[in-house]
Amino acid sequence: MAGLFGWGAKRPVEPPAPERPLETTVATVVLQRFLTALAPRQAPVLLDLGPAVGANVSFLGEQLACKLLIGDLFHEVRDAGGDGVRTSLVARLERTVTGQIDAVLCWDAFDYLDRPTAQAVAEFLAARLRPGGVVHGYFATAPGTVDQYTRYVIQSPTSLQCRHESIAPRKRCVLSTRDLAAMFTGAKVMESVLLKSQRREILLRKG
Amino acid sequence: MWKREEAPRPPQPVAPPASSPVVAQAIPVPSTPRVEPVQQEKSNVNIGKSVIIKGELSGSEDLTIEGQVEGKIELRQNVLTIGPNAKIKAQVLARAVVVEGSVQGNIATSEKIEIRDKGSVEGDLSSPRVAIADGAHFRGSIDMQQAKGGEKGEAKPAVAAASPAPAPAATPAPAPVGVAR
Repeated sequence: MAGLFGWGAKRPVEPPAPERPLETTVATVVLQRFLTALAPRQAPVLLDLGPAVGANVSFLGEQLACKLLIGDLFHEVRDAGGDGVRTSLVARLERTVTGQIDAVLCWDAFDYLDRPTAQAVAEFLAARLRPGGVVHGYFATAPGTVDQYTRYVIQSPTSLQCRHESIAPRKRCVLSTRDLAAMFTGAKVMESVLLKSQRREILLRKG
Repeated sequence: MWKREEAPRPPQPVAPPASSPVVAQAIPVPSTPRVEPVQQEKSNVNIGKSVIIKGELSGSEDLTIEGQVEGKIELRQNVLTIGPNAKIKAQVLARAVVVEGSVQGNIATSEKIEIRDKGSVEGDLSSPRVAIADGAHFRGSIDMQQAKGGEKGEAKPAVAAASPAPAPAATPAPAPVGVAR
């Protein structure tokens, strides 16, 4: 009887899901070029679309003596939700970026946006970017679902630490290099590096 | 027979209890909100949890705030610590600021701003050095333009130099509201 219904039979043990590391390190060759492009500028204004990270603030302050604007787009996306995200994001950017800027750090920020919102944000940034201004970004190359939020921490000009935390799954926005060049009006792609992590590291420069 | 003879104790000076901070006494003066503590070196004044100050707070001592302040805080030569329970809605000018509580408003210092892990700041920071701990919340901008060129340690006192604090001899401070000793 027990055998008939399978009682007492050992269930096949499911292999545990591979635990994703909470921290990873990514090498970067583009960040150094980004810093080099900004070095000659006196007191550059830099917009970070991510959250405030202490190590980054210290690093950028020491390297560039810059004014750093914190965009923290992901938390705006999470807090606003729904259809009002685009309006909310642009309004927030308008409050944060009141003048011209010299550089933008766009590390995964577009992954969490839908395409029209990404377009609106890119147009806003391109309009505020000074001639010669640069954008350093990480962008997804593979479609799918994004269920991790990554916080990038600068360790050195050639190395970033990625700290991951789980988030509610959402569709990942994938933009090709050509899309990005078109979105950031007037900017040219100076570097485009495909990483092992299925991401693309890009440096854009406004002419 | 068991009672020991006690040596006569010298009379002790009457001092205010340490738990009754001075500045707290200054609260019910909304008409003259400026509080000028007496010049003291290396002293620290506490503003307790239950204290609410609306107006302008200035002084020349290090200050720890655990209560609520709305308005303006000016400690150009001193360190301001915003405790874990503090809620500040004010423009802050100081030599250095440590944030463990909540601040809404701009902070400018001549040395350093430190936001600890439970600290929260919504406003613009201006300082040669800014430290933000993991877990801290920050929204706004950070201006570290004085930091370049190895001047971190001896930052030009942007705030203090702009309008130096009046010398005590030139402008004698008004009668102290109270002194924490």
